[in-house]
Amino acid sequence: MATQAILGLFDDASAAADAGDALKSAGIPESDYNFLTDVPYPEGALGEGMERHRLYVWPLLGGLIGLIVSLVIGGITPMAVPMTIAEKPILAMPPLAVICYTGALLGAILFTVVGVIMAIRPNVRNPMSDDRISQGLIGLLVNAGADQSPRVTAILNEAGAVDVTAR
Amino acid sequence: MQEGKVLPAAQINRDLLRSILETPRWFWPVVSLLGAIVLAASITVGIMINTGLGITGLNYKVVWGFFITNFVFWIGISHAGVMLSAILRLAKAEWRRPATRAAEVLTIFSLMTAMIMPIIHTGRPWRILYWAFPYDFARGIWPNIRTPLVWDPSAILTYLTSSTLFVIIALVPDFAVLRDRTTGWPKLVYTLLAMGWEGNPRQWKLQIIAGVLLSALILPVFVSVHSIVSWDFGMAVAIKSWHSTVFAPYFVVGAVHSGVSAVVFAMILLRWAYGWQDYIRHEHIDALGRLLIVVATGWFYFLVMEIIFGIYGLEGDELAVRALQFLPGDYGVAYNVWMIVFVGITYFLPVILWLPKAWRRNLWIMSAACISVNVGMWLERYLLFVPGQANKQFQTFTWNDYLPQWPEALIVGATFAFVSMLMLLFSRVFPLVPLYDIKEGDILRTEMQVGRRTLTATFRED
Repeated sequence: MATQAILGLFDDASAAADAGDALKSAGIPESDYNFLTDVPYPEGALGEGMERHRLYVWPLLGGLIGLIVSLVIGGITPMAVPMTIAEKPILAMPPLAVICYTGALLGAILFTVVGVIMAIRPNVRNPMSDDRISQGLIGLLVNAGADQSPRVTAILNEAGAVDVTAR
Repeated sequence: MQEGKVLPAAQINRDLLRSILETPRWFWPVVSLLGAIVLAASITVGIMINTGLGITGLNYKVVWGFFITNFVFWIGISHAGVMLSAILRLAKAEWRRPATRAAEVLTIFSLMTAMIMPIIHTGRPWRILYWAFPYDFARGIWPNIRTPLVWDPSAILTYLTSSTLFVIIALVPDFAVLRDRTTGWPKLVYTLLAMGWEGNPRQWKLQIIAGVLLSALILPVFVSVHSIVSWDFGMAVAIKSWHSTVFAPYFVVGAVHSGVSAVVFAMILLRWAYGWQDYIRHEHIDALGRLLIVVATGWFYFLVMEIIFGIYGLEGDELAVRALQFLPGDYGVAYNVWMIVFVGITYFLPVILWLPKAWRRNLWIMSAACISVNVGMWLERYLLFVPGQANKQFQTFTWNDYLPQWPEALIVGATFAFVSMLMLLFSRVFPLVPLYDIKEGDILRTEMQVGRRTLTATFRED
């Protein structure tokens, strides 16, 4: 069945949260609606469920990979070209530690960013946006089936939406 | 107590995007002037490469002069970004909000500028390829990873990469605002940069966690970068006066001192240029002034310790360098006079200016103090590096002093124009004050009655 995106705009966080509750009571699953804001509200302020993520895995993985790569580069390079300088060991631990420290952090940072981008699930082609949201209104975007659209529109209007539009 | 008033989101957008959606009349003339200075310096670099480093004041004894001084100076400035953004973000300091983006961007541009200096300084920049990356497998030329001159580019590139990604991640929600307010090709560019940002709770949560994670990861890089820069000198065994055990923290604290001062000055300039009085307020400058007193005093402690440790060992060569730094001698350059000037303008003058609250809130006085710190910190690096090389050493049969020539002066001066130009161009396409950060501060603000006083408070979620 074809679905339609309906955007309700609210000028108050409580009204938007009430609208979310009303949708839930009407049997619309939480996965079918989403709040859109121009500012990070404290988690749960709009009545939404807690989001789970595994972002913390990425820096750990990246750090490990960075460390291994640094160990390989830092270890193989002096062994490949053994230059004896001032009777110092060819494979010296302090320089290797410096290279590994930097490499592990670089890996952790790069992987964190990759993890964030993957977790955000970019939708470059068709992002839902409305300039009024960036001006302080709170959007409540509902993906409803064609038969549910009139009911969703009525719920949003009853909850105090300043505007409801179908997208 | 927090000052200022809660502003509507539409006004915040209008005010903070003005630099992007409208072009002030002064903008292009100023950018052109700065660009002309950079062009003149670029031509000078070309002449220097063609003619050789002989046209500079560098010589057999003093091989690290203005360029390396300037390199360390700009690396130092780059430490402002992490200090203000990462530490204050982790500490959830409310007053960080208008300062973070400018500090982060200043970090990126000053790092880029710093990296140009050692490349120019080699005289034959293409040879730097044999010195770091990529490996020249064909001819078996591999870098010596035991030298800090290889650790240095690896740490700086890590810091530059991290800072750039940090800024991009923080900019994504603002890209989305610009995407919705522009048309034509700018809209296309902002749409791609916004990566489909909608502002749903999941995206916000990930964005905030990413900020915290990246802050925590960049902080160790921040400490390592200037430590490694100090080892560029500390591990040069031939030069006395560069081997104090406090060199690394001394460099790091000095970097924060000059970097935060530079950010304060940049914020005052931005406030004046773009009329951001409602966002960069006296309370922010005041808080940064208080922070600077602490940082400056920490730096002064390390300065004194570095000198005391140098003298304490009573080694002849070391004492000779200290005498060169502090006592009047028969050298052409009066390092001791510059030493007095440097300590005066880097610590005593600015701290005196920062102590009274009224002076911390006077933008003219704060500007003067911050410029004074940065002139002083540039001098500090010069006085740290040059006398050690100019000193007459055991079994050395030639020695020279260092007198910088016009190419060095022009190139060093142009680096300031370069960073200023990049900052202005950035402000033309991206917001220099984070929109969502300001708005978040506003929605969490409220007024509360305590006895007979009404105080502004900000709620914070832990």
